[in-house]
Amino acid sequence: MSETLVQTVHLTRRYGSQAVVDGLNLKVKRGEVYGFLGPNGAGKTTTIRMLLGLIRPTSGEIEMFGQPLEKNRKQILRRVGALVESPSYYGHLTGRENLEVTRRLLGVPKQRIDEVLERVRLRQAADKKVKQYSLGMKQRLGIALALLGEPDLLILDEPTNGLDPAGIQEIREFIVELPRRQDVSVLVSSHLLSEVEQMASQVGIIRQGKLIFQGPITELRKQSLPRVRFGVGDPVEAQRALREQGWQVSREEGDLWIEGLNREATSRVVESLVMDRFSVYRVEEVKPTLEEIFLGLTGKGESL
Amino acid sequence: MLRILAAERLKMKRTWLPVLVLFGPTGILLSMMVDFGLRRDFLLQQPLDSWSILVKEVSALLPLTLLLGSTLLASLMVGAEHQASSWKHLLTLPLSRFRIYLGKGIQMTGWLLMAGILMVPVFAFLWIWFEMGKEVPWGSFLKGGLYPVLAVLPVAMLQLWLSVVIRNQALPVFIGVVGSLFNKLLPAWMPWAYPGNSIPVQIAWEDNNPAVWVPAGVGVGILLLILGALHFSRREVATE
Repeated sequence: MSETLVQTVHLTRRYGSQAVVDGLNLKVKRGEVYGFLGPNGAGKTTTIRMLLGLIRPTSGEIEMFGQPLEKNRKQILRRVGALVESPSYYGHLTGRENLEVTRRLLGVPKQRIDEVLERVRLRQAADKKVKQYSLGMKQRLGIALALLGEPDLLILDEPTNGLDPAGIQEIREFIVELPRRQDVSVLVSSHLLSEVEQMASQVGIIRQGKLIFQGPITELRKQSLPRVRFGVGDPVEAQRALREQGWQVSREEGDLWIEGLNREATSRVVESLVMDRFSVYRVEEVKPTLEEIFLGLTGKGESL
Repeated sequence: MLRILAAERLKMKRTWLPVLVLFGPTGILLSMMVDFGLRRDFLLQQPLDSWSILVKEVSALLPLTLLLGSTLLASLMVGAEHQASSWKHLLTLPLSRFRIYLGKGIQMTGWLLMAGILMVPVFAFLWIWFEMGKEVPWGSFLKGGLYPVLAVLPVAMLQLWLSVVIRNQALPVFIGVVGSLFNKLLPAWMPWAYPGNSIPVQIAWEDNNPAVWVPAGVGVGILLLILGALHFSRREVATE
């Protein structure tokens, strides 16, 4: 079994009477890219700020690398690199100088700067002032800052926020490579499932401060039943006929849908349609996309 | 701690901060050139020694300059962090928060001391240019520059804290400017009054007593720095 890097027990944070983070039990293991997923305002950033010691939990415990965060903050943070929301940078300094500020604070060797610049492909822009950087470059600089101290765990809060598709793709590929190439584990938050799907091996889904799913992404897929679509002539009549036989049939855009049919049941539905002289021109199994599962879990009304 | 100071120094590269520190003594020099240029003979006929006359004239401007300077210095140094939204980055580094704050205070004190030391050539230039005496009293010049700086430390540390706590720098600057402008009207125990009462000569106004207000400035300054650092290390970083 691999080492547990982050473990929270009943982690809770209240603002007034409202619990923004409510009894969270997160578990991130070494070698994972852990996707921390939830709609905006679900408590992701609050959780991440607690993991980094920026704010204190109202109750509950945080253990990182097997040590309580409250007691061993400095030792733990030495092994963590973080990018919280928008990147932090001094606009009047160059990219290299920005890295040098943090390098001095961390006391790591000077050559690390060139290494991380290379990693995020900012070498050419290193001596330009950061205020002239594009958003994508600033974000990459933020990741370079997080990597400077050679962390074992990288915590990235919405790292692709505000980037263009090419920038998103770039960051995503970069993150996927981290555990493989550098043995850096990653906790990355996002409000987009499609994004996490392409990066993460494990997901935690948070909604209104509560963790509603945690596990491998394949597990998430299994949770939902496929639906079968029937393309028939005269769908109104066909729906009525099937309902009379006890099938739960819904009608959407001129097609009939039945949930959770196995092969045998499917053939019985087709048989009864044909016997009733409805023309059947299409039978199709439709698996919900992860996005739909996610929406189902997090509630459709919420913004994504 | 040295690492924090080294990082602080780099952050101030390409900012107005060194200009600001030069600007104070230069402004005083130019004003005094005009002052003594126009009425040197009138000023020097007062029944006082030349040094007392010089430092008295300069003290019409120096305390105010230091008070305003501290306000701007604090806002400039801390405003850079707010603007960079770098608190959340700095505080996730494996560093003591207490020391991060201390680093700011120490760097600020350093810049103020530099401004005070720059007053020595200013005094010397005026002394020689306007032929105030044969012997050049370097020791007095150094006191004349550094005493008000040491006495301004409480206000400087207060401004530092205000600039850290209040994100919008307009408010701390406003408070600082008001305190500076009314420094002469405040009771002597108020920190804004310390620099004006730390002139190293036995003259002038009744409250002037460097033997009290210079040590008071250093003591209260250190106390406020430590209190600020304690508060900072307990503060949550929720929005920046």
